Amino acid sequence: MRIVLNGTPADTEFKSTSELLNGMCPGGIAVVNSFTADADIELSEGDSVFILNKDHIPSEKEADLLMSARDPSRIRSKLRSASIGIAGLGGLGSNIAAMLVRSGIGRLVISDMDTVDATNLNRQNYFYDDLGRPKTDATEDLLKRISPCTEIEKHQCRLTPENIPDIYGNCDIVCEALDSAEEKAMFINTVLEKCLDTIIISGLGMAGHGHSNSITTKNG
Amino acid sequence: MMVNGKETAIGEGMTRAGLIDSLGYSKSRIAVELNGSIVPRSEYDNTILGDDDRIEIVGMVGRG
Repeated sequence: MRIVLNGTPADTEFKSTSELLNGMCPGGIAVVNSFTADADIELSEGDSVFILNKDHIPSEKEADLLMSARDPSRIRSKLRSASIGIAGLGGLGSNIAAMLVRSGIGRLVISDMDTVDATNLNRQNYFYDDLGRPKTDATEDLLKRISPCTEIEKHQCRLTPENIPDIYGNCDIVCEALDSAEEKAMFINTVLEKCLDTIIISGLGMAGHGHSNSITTKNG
Repeated sequence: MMVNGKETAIGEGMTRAGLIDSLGYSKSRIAVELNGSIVPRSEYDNTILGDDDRIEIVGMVGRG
């Protein structure tokens, strides 16, 4: 039958995950249609199967492929072909960047003019040995450690209405993660006026301490 | 006219700039959409608003 094996269409004689593993990777683990197979599973035409060999350290390309083993294949290609911008690498941006790379985004454009200081460490995605480094450099290193195959474009600069279209104009989506209300307004207005093919996402005011049950959401 | 999704009575001759001021917004901290299109800052001006206009004003708060 025809299945998709490790991301590539393949014909197989094997009828179940146990047969497949015995034949190709004894002791390995199979992920079938995004779920780890805890028990033997019968294979069907069109199944997506990834084989994980825990005794083998995969190459960077193999690891890049395995990172998406738990994603439905229709999502994997969307994520991998996306180009996402993040403006600001503070409490929001540094964490957004890491989670997007883990999610399998193929290309990130990041900017921040600041350096890492100790007051950042309570929430921003930096480490003690990053202190004093530009946030763009520290973030790039962290992201490359998560997934060497993600393309990172970094800009250590102050964002202005003049440079925002050059930096973010070819992003599919841009996440506004800047600090001051004025910077946020400037950035959002510039993207909406000059980057007509780019969707902008902005989060405002999520901070503070209190009971988690007091958080409410509403539409409109 | 509609202001932030609510039917609102505004005075005759109210302008874009006047509405922004009367609602207490700071022009450097907002984004404005009028009838589905973003209004450039250069146009927060003395254009008079009408009964059929729909305006959305989003005020930014700091921190990120």
